[in-house]
Amino acid sequence: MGDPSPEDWSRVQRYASWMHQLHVDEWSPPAEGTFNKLRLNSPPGGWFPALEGLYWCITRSNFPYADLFFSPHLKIISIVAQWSWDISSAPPDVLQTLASTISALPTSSLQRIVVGADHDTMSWAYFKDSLSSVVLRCGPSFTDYDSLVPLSDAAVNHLIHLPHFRSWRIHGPPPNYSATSLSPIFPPLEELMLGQGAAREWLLLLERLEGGVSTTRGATPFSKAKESLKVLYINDSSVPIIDTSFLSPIQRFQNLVHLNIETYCHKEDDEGQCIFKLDNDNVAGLAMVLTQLEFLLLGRACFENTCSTTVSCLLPISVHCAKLEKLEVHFNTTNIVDDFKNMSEDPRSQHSRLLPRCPLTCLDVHRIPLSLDGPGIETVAKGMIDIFPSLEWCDGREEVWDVLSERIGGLQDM
Amino acid sequence: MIRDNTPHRIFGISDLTRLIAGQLVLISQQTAVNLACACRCLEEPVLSTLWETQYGLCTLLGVLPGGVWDVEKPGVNDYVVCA
Repeated sequence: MGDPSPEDWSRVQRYASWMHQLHVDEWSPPAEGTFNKLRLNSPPGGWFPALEGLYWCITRSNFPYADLFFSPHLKIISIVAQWSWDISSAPPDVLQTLASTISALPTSSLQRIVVGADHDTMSWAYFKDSLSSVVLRCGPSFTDYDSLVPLSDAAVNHLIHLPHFRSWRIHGPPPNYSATSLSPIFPPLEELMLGQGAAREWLLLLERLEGGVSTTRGATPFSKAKESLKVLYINDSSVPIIDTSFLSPIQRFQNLVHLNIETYCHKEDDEGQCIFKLDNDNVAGLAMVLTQLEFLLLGRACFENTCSTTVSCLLPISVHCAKLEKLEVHFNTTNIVDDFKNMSEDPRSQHSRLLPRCPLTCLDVHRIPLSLDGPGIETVAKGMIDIFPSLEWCDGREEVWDVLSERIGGLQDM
Repeated sequence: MIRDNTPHRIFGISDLTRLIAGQLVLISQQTAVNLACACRCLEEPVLSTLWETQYGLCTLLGVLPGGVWDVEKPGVNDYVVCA
């Protein structure tokens, strides 16, 4: 590599000063030594004085140089790891360098931190202290924490008190709020994502705080969030069971538009058992409370067919959640034909049929099994359309769902 | 009739030239670059808009003399040690 002249570097500086968003990817690493030359020739205000968004893919070759891209105007920082690199198994000196780089992230204008990607299987826990120190420096401009890094109790408490904090991905359990300590007042969150090891403890905390003390003005710790929360995403494989006590705190968020409980009953080798323990009335109760839902996933539907919910639970969902566009819920198909016949004779169902239904076009059934003969297909197809008048297909793993979808399509075209 | 080469005074208003550049870049980057070459008043707004979002460092390092920015694929286990 030749040595650029001062004029060459001025040209780089001119263009770099115009950059507002920079994606540092893993695919085109510069020649060895380039980052070092950039560091040695860095102008006083840094190379990227106007940078507002830094999307940094950490690689083995660029990790010591991330600070070259830091600017006091950074609003968004996204950090992911090179896809083939499990950072958690990197040598200690590499981890330390990364941790100190993260600690040095500028926060004066920071609005959003993203660390790690959804598909990450590695642990980011090593960076708990460094990222917590960053969060503790964040000011009122901060709005989004979307990170797989768990935070210290102090950092969590700091986030809770930020006035514009709106979107939060939580990993790990909540701080221990003892009975004697003052309950925190949570901000008007719009999105809450409960990640690994977070769901059960945080939902229990919510239930405990909401059922407990209230302040002098009648506000409860979650009273703002209960009104404001639009998206609740639970992605925690440690959730032991989906039952009424699990749903109870969730039902307090009555303006939810998107409820996504992304849990699996079984492991990849099908080991485990069905954790869905709701009945038709429980699901109907949920639908009656969360009427703004557009997306409802109550755990990925499994293959056991042992749940007590049946197709009868779908009608109240369709009636009460009039904006619903996406749905997946366990329902038992063992006697599905009879269930549809019973529904048509049930007076409550007959009343519901007079009401408008949701615009759902695709029903996700994932691994729910189905066994039907020709007449059974006809009955189920008609029954499904009766519940979801806009239904076009049922998206399931078993082929019989395709046969059913074809019949649904045929009936809709008539 | 001899035309006046002085640009219209609208091009002296940086907020407007920036807006124009932003729209031009959205419609056609090549047209924007051609105009920036033809009209000095539009050079900086167009270039700064074009540089606003960058995917990777190749374009930036590409303004350096040849050889500096050649892409090298390091081995998957090669750590770079800070000098």
